[in-house]
Amino acid sequence: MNLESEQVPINGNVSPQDLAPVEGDIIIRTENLNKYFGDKHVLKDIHFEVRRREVVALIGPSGSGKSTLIRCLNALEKADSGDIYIHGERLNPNLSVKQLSPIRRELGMVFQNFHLFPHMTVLQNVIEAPLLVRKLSKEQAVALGESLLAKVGLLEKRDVYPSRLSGGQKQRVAIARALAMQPRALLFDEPTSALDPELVGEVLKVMKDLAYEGSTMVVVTHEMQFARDVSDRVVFMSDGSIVEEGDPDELFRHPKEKRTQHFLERVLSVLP
Amino acid sequence: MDVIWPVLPDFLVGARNTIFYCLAAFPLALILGLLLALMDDSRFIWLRNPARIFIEVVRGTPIVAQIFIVYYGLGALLASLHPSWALWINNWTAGIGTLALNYAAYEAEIYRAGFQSVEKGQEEAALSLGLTPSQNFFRIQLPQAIPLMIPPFVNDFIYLLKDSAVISVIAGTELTSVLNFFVRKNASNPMPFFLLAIVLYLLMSLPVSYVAKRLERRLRAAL
Ligand SMILES: Nc1ncnc2c1ncn2[C@@H]1O[C@H](COP(=O)(O)OP(=O)(O)OP(=O)(O)O)[C@@H](O)[C@H]1O
Ligand SMILES: [Mg+2]
Repeated sequence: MNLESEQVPINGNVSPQDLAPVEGDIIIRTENLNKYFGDKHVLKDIHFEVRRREVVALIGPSGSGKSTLIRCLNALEKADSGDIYIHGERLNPNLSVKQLSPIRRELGMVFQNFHLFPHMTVLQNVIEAPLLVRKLSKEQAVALGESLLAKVGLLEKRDVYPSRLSGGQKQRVAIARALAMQPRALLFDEPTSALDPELVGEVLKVMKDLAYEGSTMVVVTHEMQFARDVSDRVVFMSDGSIVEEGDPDELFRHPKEKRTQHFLERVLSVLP
Repeated sequence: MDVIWPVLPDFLVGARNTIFYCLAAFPLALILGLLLALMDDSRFIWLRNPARIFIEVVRGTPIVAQIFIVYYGLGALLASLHPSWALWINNWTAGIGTLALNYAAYEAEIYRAGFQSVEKGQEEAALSLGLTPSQNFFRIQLPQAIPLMIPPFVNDFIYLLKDSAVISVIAGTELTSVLNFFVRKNASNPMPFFLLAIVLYLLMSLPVSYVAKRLERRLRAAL
């Protein structure tokens, strides 16, 4: 399934010419993004950009704001100031939930704890949004759902309920569900952190395949090996700021900032 | 026994009317309760506050007082607005109306607890896929909350069967009203009538609570 094959305009009645010019195909862009929880400054002037087909690994210590950043991108958290552009269209934080819907579907979200719909079978999980939001016909949706389940290696589980799946299988279904909306980019928030160690590999494998096919991805992860091998760019966050970013090999081998060095020393020392 | 046989048909009619009152009041209470729960959960304070106040007032006052207010108070109010409107309030409408309003407040709390026990992540997953609020409500939240709400709903229906006795204070036609009538007529030996009424109430409530128990076990096994 090619992510780029069937792009849907951000808003059904907006023609491409009406969209702001997209320089170099920037899918996600934030400018001066700030977010507070109470008086805690959780995101500080974040400038963040993701280009089409780019795989960005977002790393950093616990509490540095990685989850908050990607949750702001699809308005699961409301930023306090600054701008977010999704494929050139500004994400207006004051839109109603209903008005946000066409923008949210542009970004697929994969959660640490899967959040599959427990009252639906695997296939229903995958085709629910295509049916309701993309208004596909039942046959189209089922065909799409089956091809995506085959892609993540779970076609034989199509009629099973999520409670019968292992964590790794759940996460692969969740990835298929996000792909079914044919989003412009996928956001992953620690997709393997809730998994037993022996199940991490199967999920990373699916993500690797997606990356090699040219999917645009933002991955919050503690899997440094994955960040190093698969991502095109690593972004290191600490204490609400982007401290350093760059080519994975360069950043892992020669971190420029003190905080990056400390963090990498700590996490890489526990790697094999 | 020979005191029972002659009155049995009247008591059976009373029991049937009890069931009628409840079957009319409970669906209304479920609908009103859902409305109250949605208002209570709204972003808008002008929806939230009235719902909250209604729920607290209903739960904090005796149902006997409520039925008097509906029967006499509302009756007088309507009569003062237009003489013929007073006809709207009889012991059927006042009885069903009071039970429905009273139970709506309790059902609202059951809805609230049911929706709260659906994981927060479900809504986030739904919204991030682009589902609208109503799609999220009907396709994701409601189907997960309903199985959790059914056992307490059935439980409340049993309470309603018993609480419908309150209609006797405005001289209705349900079982306790019938009981009152015959107790007054036979003040020297009321015991057989009380026993008969108790047996009839049990015959109504026991099957419902049996169904409730089985349902609860089935739903628990399914989770
Ligand atoms: N809903 C919330 N209410 C209040 N504070 C919050 C909330 N969510 C996050 N925070 C705080 O915001 C800060 C950033 O949190 P965030 O979850 O974005 O960090 P993170 O980098 O994803 O960390 P981790 O690696 O542990 O997931 C933390 O200090 C956290 O305690
Ligand atoms: Mg996090």
